Amino acid sequence: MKNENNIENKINQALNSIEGIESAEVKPFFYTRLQAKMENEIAPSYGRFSILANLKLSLAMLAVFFVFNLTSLVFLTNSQDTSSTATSALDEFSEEYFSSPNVYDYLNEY
Amino acid sequence: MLQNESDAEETAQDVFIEVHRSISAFRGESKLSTWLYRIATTKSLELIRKNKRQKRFAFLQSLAGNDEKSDSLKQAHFIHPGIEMEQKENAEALFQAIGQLPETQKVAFTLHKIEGLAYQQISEIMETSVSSVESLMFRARKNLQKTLKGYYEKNFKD
Repeated sequence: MKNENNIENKINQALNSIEGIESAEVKPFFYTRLQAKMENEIAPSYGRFSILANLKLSLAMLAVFFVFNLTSLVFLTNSQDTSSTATSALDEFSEEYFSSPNVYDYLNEY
Repeated sequence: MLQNESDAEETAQDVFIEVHRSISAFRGESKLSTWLYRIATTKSLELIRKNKRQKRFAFLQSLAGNDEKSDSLKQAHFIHPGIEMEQKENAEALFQAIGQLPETQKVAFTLHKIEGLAYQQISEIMETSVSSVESLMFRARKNLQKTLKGYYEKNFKD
């Protein structure tokens, strides 16, 4: 019972221990450290690899790169089609003006 | 609330940076002090969550056989610098118990008992009603009594 009362007293003492608590003070030169951190985080960096640090810009550049690649691929495929069309047109032309070898097959009949 | 001097300083710096960044978004609907307390509370809770995650990760690492004890695993005994000398021992137990409170109760209790704010201002900071703050305070006190009882029963069984 005595022990119970003791514990009860201890609990109350602990709960009341923060009565009249004073505000915690910052360590000296807080403003200097804050200023340094602000300069680091807020001021834009013009470092050599600052572009890489900017994730949004990097992603945008990556997207542009992919679009450029895709466009190139599409153009390349189209130009291959055109060249094959051109080749077939050349064949037609050649067949028309220069007879194919089997035209002379009748000579073999003699 | 953070119960660590360097964490508190880091958070204080983050609060100033956040204020600098978003001062244009402050519309003056609440008092400037309320807005500042809201930022400080949010930043503190973010750091507490981050520390908890690190502790869990360090615990998993220790289970995996990495015995290197990280700083986050070391439970430091915190004594608030504004506590009177003769109350330090009792306050240490109390701060340990505060550290175990759920987030909302911790915020309400800290703002009221340590920062000395009125329920009305706490309700504005926490964006809730005054009756909710009263309820949080009641539950915080009950939980603290329970935790402290366990602590004293374990440590003073003579």
